[in-house]
Amino acid sequence: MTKSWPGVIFCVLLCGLVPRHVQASPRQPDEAALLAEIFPSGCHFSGHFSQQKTIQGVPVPLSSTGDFYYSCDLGLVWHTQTPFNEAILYVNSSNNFRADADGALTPLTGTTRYIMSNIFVRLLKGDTGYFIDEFAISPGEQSGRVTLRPESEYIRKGLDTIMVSKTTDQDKGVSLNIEVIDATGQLTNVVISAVEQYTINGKRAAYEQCESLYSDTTWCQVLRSPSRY
Amino acid sequence: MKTLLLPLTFILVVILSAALFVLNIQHLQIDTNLNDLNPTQISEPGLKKAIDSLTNDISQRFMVVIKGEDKTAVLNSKAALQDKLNALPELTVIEDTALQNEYLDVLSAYRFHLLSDDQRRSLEVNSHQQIADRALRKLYQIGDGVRLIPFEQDPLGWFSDYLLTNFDNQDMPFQSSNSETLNQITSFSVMFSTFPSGMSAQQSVYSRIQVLEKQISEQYNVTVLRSGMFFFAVDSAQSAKADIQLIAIGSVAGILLLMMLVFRSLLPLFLSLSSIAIGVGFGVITSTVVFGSIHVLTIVFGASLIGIVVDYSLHYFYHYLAHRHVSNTAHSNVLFRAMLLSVITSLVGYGALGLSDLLILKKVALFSCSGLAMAWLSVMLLGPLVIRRPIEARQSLLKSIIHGCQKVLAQRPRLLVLTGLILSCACAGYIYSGNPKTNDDPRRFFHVSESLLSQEQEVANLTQIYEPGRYLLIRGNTPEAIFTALDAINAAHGVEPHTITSVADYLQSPQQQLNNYALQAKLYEDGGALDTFAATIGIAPKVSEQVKQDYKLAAGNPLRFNELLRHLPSLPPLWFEHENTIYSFALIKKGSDLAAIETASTTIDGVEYVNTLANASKALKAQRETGTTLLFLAYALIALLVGAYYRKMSAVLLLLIPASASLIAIALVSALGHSINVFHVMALFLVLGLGMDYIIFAKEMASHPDTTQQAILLSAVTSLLSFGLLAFSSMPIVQAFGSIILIGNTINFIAAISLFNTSQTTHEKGNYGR
Repeated sequence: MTKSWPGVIFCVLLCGLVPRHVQASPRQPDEAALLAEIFPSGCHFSGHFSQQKTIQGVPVPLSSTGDFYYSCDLGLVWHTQTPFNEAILYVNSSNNFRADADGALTPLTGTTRYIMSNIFVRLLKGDTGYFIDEFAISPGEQSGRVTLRPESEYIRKGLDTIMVSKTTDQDKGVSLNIEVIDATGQLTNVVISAVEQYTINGKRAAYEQCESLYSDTTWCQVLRSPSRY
Repeated sequence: MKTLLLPLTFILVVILSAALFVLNIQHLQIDTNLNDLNPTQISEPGLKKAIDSLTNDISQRFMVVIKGEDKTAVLNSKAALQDKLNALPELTVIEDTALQNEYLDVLSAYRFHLLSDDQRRSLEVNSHQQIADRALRKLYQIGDGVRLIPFEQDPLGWFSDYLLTNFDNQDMPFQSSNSETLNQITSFSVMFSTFPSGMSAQQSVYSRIQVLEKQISEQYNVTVLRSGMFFFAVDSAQSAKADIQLIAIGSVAGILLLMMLVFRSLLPLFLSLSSIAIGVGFGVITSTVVFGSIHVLTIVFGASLIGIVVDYSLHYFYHYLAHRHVSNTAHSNVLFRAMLLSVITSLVGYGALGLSDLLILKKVALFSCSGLAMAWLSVMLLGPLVIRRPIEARQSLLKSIIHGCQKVLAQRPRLLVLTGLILSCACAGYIYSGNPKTNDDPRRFFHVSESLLSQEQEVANLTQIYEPGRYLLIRGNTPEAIFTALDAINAAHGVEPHTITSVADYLQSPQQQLNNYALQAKLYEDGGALDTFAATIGIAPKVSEQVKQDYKLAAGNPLRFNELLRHLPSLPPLWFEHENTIYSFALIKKGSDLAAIETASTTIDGVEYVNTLANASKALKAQRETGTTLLFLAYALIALLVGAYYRKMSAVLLLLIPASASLIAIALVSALGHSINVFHVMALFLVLGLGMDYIIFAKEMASHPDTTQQAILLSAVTSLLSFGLLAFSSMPIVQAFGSIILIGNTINFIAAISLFNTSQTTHEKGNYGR
């Protein structure tokens, strides 16, 4: 066996390429207050969304609409109704699925898992700690608007800015406007409206509420027992 | 005139050499590379180059960690320190952002050769329509369809998908440095753009870095830590520099004092100092010519040469004083014989160091042997010029010292011999019974400041995710062989996924890339998925045509690691090609099942598990054991030489003096709590060489024991001064060397002045002093 001895401190500097997390960071009270203004107050709610995405090179904006159900205990059903019927089921950071119109389930790839699970779902969940840790949070130019800029260069590779504003209307209820600008300047605007809050205790009740919304699908069962799918 | 020709020629050569040396002084490099203590012999030239390249790369990087209470202060201090370090002409900060951007740019150029496993499967099973439909749906989903490069270059989003799928936040070969600033700790790497050559330049850079760290630390109230071989090398060099000053100044001052006390004349002093200067100077020139530089540890060891070199002029003067009433020819013959034997024994002692596999000992051997030979030559050629004027030696002081020693030790020589032999036997028994502890851990060879060590430890704890000193070496004749071996390791039983970081984390094998390219024809050929997608979404035809054209142009040109390295020189050289062999290194993440990886490596062709520390310790142990065997061989050879020359058994038995000295020195050092290493063993060669020096001198001047003893006393004092100073070095290896010679040579000296104290003393003729 050939011996080699490139120095006892062999890996020290190579390892320098990959620093790692070490400690937890204390919360910033002003950032937390800004986030509290825009985050949903409840833990179980449903609503409608409309989305418009502008892509350079594509002649017209891409619009879609649908509904959703979110529960802290189960996860998120993101159901696109137009221009095609499809649902994305976000259970947790490692179990997410795409459900086709015909009911076929496909596990989601890392891309979607990363962006959606770690940002969008946390946004709905109101994960203040996550956003304080991962984003630079500042008040937007308009009142009630908050701008989130990822601090990690890695996330910035895909995502440039998220701008969130929350409006409350006596007739229409609470609506949330989310604007996402990705690294290439592509703008996605999501408006969440007709938000209905639920007072639910426990996973079973959350499941039953989900079933009442999406009774003709297996989506709620997937959220409840993702390992079976 | 004829007798002057040779000395004058020698002087001329010396002056010319000195002039050349001074003119080229800027080329004199003082090497501080700690790797010269590497005992490993690598016979494979390609592997040697690969390891040298990696080692060189490592030694030219260092890591900086900043800690603080406040996140903003940490972030700002990082930016400020990076700016300041970048402003130093010798340094370049490796910015993760720039590195990632460059990596993305390179991969982007080869995007038609890159696919994930899922994408490959998808291309195999899905139709054009299905692929186009999926790409379209992704565009509508929030988050999905994220573009890392503009839509026009990657309309189907396959490349962005590949990158985001393969390099998520944990698996990226290099990760954003900003992410960890969230936790009040940040780190970054720095490379030397121009590595400072020479000790003073390195010290200058070191000092400037320290100043910057202090500034930043105070300005932002943060703690700055750093780690890198550069700092250890400079720190060791500083220790060595202090040792060199101590030994050189101490030795020269001691010699000046002794020579002036004894001879009270400038001429003998001149010869002694000239021989020292010529010897050391020639040693420096030879080392520079052969090795391209002179190692700082060579100078430390070499400084002790002063004590040996001066012996030749002392021997010369005392021979002259003892034989000045004898005819010129007879005197010359005796002198030459004694001096020749003396230099031969010293050369054998120092030359034996060259038998070691340690490069540093080879360098010391070359420096010392060439220096000794030249110093000897200078004494032999210049000596006759010096003794043209009468030289007188003051004996009273020396005699009183010698008589004092003899009064204590030499009243009963037989008892002394018996005591010495019994003591030696006891020491041999102590050593043979395995009492002396040994330590072949190379980390014990260095003296590093506590501050550096604690910083190193803290930085390693905070940032190091790989097993230090352990890696896999993969050999192969083709890139495919390397990637196949890497795949086999990752798939091996007991090896957890993602425990190995290798070239496979940066790119796929060339063959895999070519396969990927062929598969992507389904996307970019005429009538392929892109055309279907473009028709559905209504993008301009020129956009899709350009992408298809780019695809065609990329044919047959996969990305290779060397190409990646060319674009990203800050990547570690994990890939090295030499003739028809490729060498690749794979790093092992901390906490991995090392035993499983080692077992797996034995079952896969071309893969070798390397534990550098264990290998180095093993090699140093082998060196220590081989050195011991060689020492016995040296004793046997010198016994033959002495036996053949003197043709007396009693002469051969004189070897018991250095042998006893060696046994007692080792036992004493061990009893004092030191662990024996290869440097202790190598020092025993010098105990033999110096011991024989005294013995031969005493034998050759048996008719003038009084003179002999004075010469031996002076010689011993100068040697003990030099090596004694080594024993007080802060460098453990130098200390080991010096302590053995100090003890061993003291015993040699005691034996020499006690055992050669015959009754002839009183009958010695001639009056050459006061």
